[in-house]
Amino acid sequence: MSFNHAVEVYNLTKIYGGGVIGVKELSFQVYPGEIYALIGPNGSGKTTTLRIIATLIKPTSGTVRVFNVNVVEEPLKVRELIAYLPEEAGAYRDLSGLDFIKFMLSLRFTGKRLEEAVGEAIEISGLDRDLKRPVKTYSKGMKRLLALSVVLASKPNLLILDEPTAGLDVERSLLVRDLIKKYNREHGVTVLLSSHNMLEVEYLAHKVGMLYQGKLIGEGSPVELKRKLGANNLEEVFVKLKNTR
Amino acid sequence: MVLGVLIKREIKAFLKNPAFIFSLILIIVLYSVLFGIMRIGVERAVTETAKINIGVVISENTSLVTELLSLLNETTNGRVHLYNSLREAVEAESIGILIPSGFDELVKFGTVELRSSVRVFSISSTTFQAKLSTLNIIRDLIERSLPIAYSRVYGVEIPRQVKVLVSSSVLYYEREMSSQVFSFLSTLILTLPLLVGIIIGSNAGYAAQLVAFEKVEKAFEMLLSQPIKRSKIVLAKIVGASIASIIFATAYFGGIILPFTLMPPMTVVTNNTTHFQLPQLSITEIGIDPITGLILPTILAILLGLFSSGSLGILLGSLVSDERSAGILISPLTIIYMGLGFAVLFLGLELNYVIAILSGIVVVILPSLYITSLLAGRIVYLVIAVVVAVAMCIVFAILAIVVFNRDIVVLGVRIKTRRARAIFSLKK
Repeated sequence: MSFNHAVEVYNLTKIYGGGVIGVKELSFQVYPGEIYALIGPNGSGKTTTLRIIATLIKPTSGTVRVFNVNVVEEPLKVRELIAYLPEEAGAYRDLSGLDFIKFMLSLRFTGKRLEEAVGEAIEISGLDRDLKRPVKTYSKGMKRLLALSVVLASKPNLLILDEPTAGLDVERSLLVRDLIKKYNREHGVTVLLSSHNMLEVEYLAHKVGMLYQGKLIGEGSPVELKRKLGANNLEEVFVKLKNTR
Repeated sequence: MVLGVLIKREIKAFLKNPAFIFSLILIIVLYSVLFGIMRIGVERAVTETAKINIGVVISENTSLVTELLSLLNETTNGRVHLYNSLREAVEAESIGILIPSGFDELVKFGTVELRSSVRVFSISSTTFQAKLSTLNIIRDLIERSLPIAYSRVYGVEIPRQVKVLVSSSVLYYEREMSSQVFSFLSTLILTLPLLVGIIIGSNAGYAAQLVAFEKVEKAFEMLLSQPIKRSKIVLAKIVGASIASIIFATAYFGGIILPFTLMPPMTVVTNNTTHFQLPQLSITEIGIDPITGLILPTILAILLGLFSSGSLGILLGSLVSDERSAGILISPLTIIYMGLGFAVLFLGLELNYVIAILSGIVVVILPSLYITSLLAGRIVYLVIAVVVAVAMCIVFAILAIVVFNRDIVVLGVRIKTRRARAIFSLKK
């Protein structure tokens, strides 16, 4: 089955209690096999958008479809297509790393497929012997790798990553970025990620959507955006777009 | 100097913790309410007892008995009424005393044993104790009036001090039982809500913590984005919390009961100076099977209670963002469950539709209602309570599932403080 879009977001608005605007009339599309990055400062609506696509919260208005499945009408079907890594995702402190992998993947797979997925997650995590230790003894970077290994081994059609390298050291950040690129390239996984690290996005993303105060203020490939605005990097692009509003 | 700064910081941390402040307020409110309940219970028992007349049955009408009754009537302001049978007396006046045939002879021997009966409509230890106290007062009056009556009838002083013993039975609805059995039964019936309340109350806390901890551990959103129905997550948490509570209850009550089993048997001196062995009393004496009449209803109530309180706990846990806030919300719920058990202890358990519905809602009273319904032969109240309890389980579970499918499970309740409003307005 082929789809025109992996993600379609039309006029998406989310207003929280008390009238706080999460996102407003947001529209963008992600093509299958693409790495699309939503970038913007804190409070710009990145996490809100990703949570809506991951069926965790519902939009106030607008339409969101993942591989042509409406996230509000058929959330369970959408969840079969996606794997979501929340910002600062942790793991159950009482479990060992290995048990966490087994638990999470057993919610998706059974039998031989489960064994394969667990083996793959173990390999991705690179935590080796540490996997037998309780998660509560892990560093932030180890926890992030553990969670990432689970979502990657899930082999979803769409990978949703909220700030995948936030708070990680340089080495771990590079490792995570390489893993994302590898899975996109080798397994054709579509990736939708958010970040406020514009350098990271420049390295990873095929296409970028710039969010500011819940609205999309610019969209395109990093090269295209830089050329269009005569900027040296995405940070400059963002500042110029923000100032021209 | 440094120590002072550190201590100041620690105290500030307590005083600025809403959970701490909330607990303080809650404790004051709770104990005021409980004291109020105790007062109502005692006042009601005293008021009820103050209005009671005494129904007396005479097996043999002698001059001594007539004189004694005349004296009793004088000292109780005419509250002694005569009846043909003890049943008739107790049904009409709530307290009945039978003066046996050969009374005059027994007086000469120095020991008189009277049969008595009290009628109760609620398993309330305060009401029962108040009626027993009235019986004791009557016994004392008889003991003190006898020498006077004897000298008036026979013109001589009574040969020896007469000891009056009263063996009392209890008429609970249509069922008659000895006062010892009733005491045992009322202790059992009134203690069960407390025990069930502890289990159910702690279960609500466990359930709320399961969700709250998951949020703190940051694994919650990952779990929610998995291709599984939210209802399954909710049910798994209800079952998980229930199993934890059962383990807790087994350890808790095992720890309490074990030392008692190792103790030597106790003998108790009753108010009418007879001796009896406590453990010999059994509910089988009044026709209730211990398994179907006691153990099964308690298990049923605990299971229903675990399900409903687990659902409520999960409901509350899903509204908060961390375990501290969960604690704030769960403390009142836990205390309400335990407090209800405590309230029953003092107010007693009357059989009516309101109590039946209430026991169904809170479940804590259910095992007691089960036993009292069986005793009174009024199964309709039991059926109502069980139907309501099952309905509440379904309602709470559905509510928890509904909340789990809403944004609030991820976002938590946002309390708008003045400061937060100011921040929001700045953002706009």
